[in-house]
Amino acid sequence: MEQKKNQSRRSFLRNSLGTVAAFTIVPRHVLGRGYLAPSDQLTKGVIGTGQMGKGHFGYGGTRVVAICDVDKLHLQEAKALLGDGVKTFDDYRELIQLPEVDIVHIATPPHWHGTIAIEAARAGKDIWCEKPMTRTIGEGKRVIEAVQQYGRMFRLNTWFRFTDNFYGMNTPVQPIKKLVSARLLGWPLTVTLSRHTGFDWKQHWIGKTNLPVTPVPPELNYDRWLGPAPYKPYHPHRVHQHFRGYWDYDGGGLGDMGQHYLDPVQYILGKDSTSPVSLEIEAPQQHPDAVGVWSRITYTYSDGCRIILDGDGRDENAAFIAGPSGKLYPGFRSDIPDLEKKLAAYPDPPPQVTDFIAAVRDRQRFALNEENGHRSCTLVNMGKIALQLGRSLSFDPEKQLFLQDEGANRLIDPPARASWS
Amino acid sequence: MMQVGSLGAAGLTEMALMLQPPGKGDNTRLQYALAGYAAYVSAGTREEMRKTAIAAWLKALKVTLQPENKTFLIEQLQLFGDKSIVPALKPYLLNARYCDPVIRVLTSIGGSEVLMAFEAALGKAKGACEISLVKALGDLRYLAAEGTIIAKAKSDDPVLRRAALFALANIASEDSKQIMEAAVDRVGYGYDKTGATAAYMLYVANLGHNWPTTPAMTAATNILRKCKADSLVHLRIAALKIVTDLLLDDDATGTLIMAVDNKDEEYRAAALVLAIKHMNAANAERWIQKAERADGRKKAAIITMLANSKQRAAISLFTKALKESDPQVRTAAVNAAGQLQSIEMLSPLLAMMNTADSATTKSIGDILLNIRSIEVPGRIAVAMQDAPPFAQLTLLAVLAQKQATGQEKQIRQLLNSPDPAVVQAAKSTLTAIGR
Repeated sequence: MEQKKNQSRRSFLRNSLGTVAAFTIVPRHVLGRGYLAPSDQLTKGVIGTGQMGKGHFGYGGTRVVAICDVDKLHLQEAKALLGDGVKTFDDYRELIQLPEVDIVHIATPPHWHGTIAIEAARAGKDIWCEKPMTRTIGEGKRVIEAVQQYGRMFRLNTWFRFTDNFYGMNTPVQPIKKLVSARLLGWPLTVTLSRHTGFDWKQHWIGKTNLPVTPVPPELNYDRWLGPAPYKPYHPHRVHQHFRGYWDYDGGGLGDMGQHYLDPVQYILGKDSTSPVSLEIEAPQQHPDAVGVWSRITYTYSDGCRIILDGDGRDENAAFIAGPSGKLYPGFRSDIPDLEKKLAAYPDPPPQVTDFIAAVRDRQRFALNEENGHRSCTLVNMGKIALQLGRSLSFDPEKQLFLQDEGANRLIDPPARASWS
Repeated sequence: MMQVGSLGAAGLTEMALMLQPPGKGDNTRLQYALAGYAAYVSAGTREEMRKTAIAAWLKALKVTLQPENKTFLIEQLQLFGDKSIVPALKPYLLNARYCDPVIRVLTSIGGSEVLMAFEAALGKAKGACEISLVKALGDLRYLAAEGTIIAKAKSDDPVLRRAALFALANIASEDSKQIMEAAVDRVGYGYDKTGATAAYMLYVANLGHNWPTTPAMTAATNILRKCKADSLVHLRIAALKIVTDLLLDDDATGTLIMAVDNKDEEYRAAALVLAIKHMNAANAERWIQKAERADGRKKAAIITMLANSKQRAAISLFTKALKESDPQVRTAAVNAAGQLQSIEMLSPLLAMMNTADSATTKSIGDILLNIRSIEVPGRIAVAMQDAPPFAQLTLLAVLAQKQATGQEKQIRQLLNSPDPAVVQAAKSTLTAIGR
């Protein structure tokens, strides 16, 4: 999903080409640390130039100076869009090494996000990472460590906690946050994310089983595409545009949409620095390789707040938020009379740093950063683990470990393949 | 699952041996059954079933020759294998096809049996198996393998060298100091594919977890001294974090107070982020004093840090800063009032609106919407009577948003304003509050 999703791909690319032609950029490193180029643009290296990566070439305030992909065709297409001035690589570490890159933008499949983010932080780059932040809880913890160790700015690219209507709720998150903080709905709250409250779980993102072994196309460096993921014989359905259907690389619709949906909910509930203490699942048994469908995942926090992911839309009458004193439905409808009037007397939510370019320039933490991003990604990754194991789980939010479940804990930070590099 | 379990070890083995080679049949149902059972027995309460499953799996593994199916069986052991599988998996540690999944399974299990098996295999391993073993021994922090890994860190193969340097960084023994320093010196603290610099930084950070901490402190201080180039500021930041992590809060704060005088803005900003971790009442007072002596951008940054760490003791500093001539400082103070939801700063904020520019007036208006107190509408209603027209417009908008029905009388007074825009705004506000 792209931030500028209402912009057509064609106009988006046209704009980005215009950007490349119109400016002569002085990278930040030439002027020294802490200074921006006169044009106030930052230079960006994009890793992963498939559909997602190409959609991110044209953000205001940045200019793409380098791109990297392990598929030569992707790289050629991207270079054709950006022009000859852009440097191309098939090894992300060569891009990271470039002094002229200020921001590393990670638009690869999720199984690469953690590894590249850590490497970029170690090289002194600021980081713009697509969602889901990491494929495992363990990787997320290491990203936090690296970003904070090296004093980097990190932006996770989902944005509903600070802008745009929150999917089918048809209202931005801020008034919902204000309502919840005012406690007009009471406490604890239950949030339901289902098609009836405006959230589609994209259950079509499922994998295939019994894939025949297929020759790797010459344009793809498959070993490097797999990277830290376990080796599996190549099949086209594993890679571009289909990878979400396989546990080794993502987690189906939950992996794709989970952080888009769950991050704002975490923010609304004020749970940015914690995680649930339990989760229950209702789902058919999952294949060990291919992601399947699921019915329901229920997260419960220590104070009794719950988040229900209703995968098959079972509860047609569910409110988006239900509390002991009232309910909130899409379009800010509520069973509380004169809600907006009552709400007006309460304070607005605190302001957030929502301009990443300003965050980099002023070294101010971005609204959705490595810490709260890790927590909302943990919701996704906890759900994936429960689905893979086919059982409900208890979790210690401080230690970030499952309670009395060795099998589940082995999926928190499974060892990565070492020899890909 | 109970049905699968009732098959017993022999039945489970038989089931595993029914897996067909790729292209020769559809294994989907068998994979569901076997993996489902593997997940089922991995729960902590199913120890007997787990033992049965391990026995069945190891027998099947021995008989199965087809590589994909063998790998499938090995990978399921990741969930439920225990140290009893080490002897059966040990032979695969040197097999190029299977060493990666086997090493990942055994790393998840850990323990002395695994470590000794890895160490023994490392002596004979080559290629991918060697790299995976070195990484695994590092991940498990096996000090006894340090000598062997030091030798690997001298390899001409950059991939092996990288694995070895990171393994040594994880083990974090002083005996690795020489090779780690040589590696980082060779790349001049720059970034390279062998990760020499990152491995060294990790090594120093991990050394800090050992006792005594002097070697880590010495190394981090050296990094601060050597990495002067602009392009190495991230290493100075990392070293500063290591140093302050090793110090007590008071000493760390002293170091960080000095660090905010650094010429590099990124370094200064990082020091202020680190300061929050060491904050207490006494250290907050030291930062307040530092802010009072600072000016411009630096003062604004300290104010923001104190506000981010919710230091109410700094409210008098923030209040004074509202009157500073530097707009950065004033803006930081206004935002600090919002961060702390400071009712104490309400009067000075309202007074500031009498002389503020339009952007600041707008910012104060936003902050007034953030402050949680029933006093806010009443105080605004009184203050706006004598405010300049632009401020009156902002304050009326705040009252409208807050649905300040109790302030109707004061709002109506502005219907007599000579400024038509204020009159119109007063009318709109009365409509908004339903009057």
